[in-house]
Amino acid sequence: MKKIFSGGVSLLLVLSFLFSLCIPAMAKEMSIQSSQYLSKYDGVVTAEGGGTIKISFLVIGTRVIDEIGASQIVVEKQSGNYWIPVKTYNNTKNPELSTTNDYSYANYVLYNGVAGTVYRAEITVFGNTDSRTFITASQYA
Amino acid sequence: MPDLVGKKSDQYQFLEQMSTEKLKSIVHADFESGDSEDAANDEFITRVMEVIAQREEEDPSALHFDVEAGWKDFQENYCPTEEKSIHVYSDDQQDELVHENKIEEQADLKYPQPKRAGHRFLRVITIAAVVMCMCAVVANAFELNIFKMIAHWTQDIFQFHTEEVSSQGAEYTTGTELDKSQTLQGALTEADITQPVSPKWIPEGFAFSGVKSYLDIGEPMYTALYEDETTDRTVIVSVVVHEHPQAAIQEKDNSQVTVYQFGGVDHYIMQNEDALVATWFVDNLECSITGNITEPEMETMINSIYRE
Repeated sequence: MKKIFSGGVSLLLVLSFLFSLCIPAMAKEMSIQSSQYLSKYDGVVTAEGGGTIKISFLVIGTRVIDEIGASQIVVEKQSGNYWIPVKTYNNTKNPELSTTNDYSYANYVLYNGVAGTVYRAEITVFGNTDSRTFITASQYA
Repeated sequence: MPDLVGKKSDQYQFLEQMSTEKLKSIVHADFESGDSEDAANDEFITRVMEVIAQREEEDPSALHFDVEAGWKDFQENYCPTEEKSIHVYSDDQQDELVHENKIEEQADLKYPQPKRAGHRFLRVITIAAVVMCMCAVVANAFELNIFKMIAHWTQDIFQFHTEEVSSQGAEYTTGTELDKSQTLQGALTEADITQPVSPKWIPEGFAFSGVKSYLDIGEPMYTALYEDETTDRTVIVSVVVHEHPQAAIQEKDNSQVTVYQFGGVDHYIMQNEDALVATWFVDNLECSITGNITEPEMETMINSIYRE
């Protein structure tokens, strides 16, 4: 019994160490690829108080391009182990999400959520014909 | 019901015919063999010892053990005193300790046991893992790289390499020296950001086009554009001020990332299609230079950041 316990603890410690090495690599889901128009992009959800959240994004192009910005922002709320879409913004109805003839762009949308609820956003950024979709870190409203 | 005890006693009747010396040699041989798992053998040896004891009791000339003298000798020479004692064990622990000592003594007499060697190895691995985990936690807290290893990757492989010797980069006599108004420095100073992150030099042919500040977003961003109108090339310098420990996603192709060290900062240089990109962190500032320039030109731009 003592040997089994000792062996189990040893295995657990070794596995914990190995997993700790993997955590930094899992910070943000992404696939490595190159783009002729997009250089760098990011998004963040911040709490503004009273249940309101701000979903911000930024995009940097490789040069001055015809169109740059976010084409879609989907706000999701956490429900148990699931994420449920609660609001979608796109640059057709919200032209302030993108701009033309520029090399960088950044903006935000505000969403009136419920205080204490956890939200995140799925953001699609684009530069001319290239687009990328990523998910932000979650945030309490 | 048959008398089993009597039957067994009769079974060892022949021992009575053997000399005491012979019986002692049997016990000695059994002790040397170390075989204690055979019940029949144990019973036989017990019977042998009983015969020896019986004979010694009956023989007045036999050497008798003096219990009182033995106890005194133990107290004086073997029993740990308060000054000498190191560990205090309970009865159970003492029994366990004696048992362990016996096992170890037997193990020493026998061949080395692979099982024990395996346990020792497992113990060493466990201790090493615990120490490394603790070191990693401490190192993370102080943002230290304990292994001094540098990450290199392509689209297909990822590998750590030992720290590269930093290059001092090429020094250009051509190119343009920028004043404060032509860099991000002015905008950053207004936001009380004083770390050196703005290049003060751009390659020949480029000219300053403008600075943009995005202050209302969750994590403010500053960008500067430099353009070479004759060749339609651009250089973009950017700084993102992170309020949370996260970083933006940088596009790259499958070529290798090189690390350029200057000013005590690691600058990661990579290719993204036609554009060369350098990106690095200074505290919470994520900085980058993107442009259609050569690597030596990129290194010279980086060097200029730290120039007084």
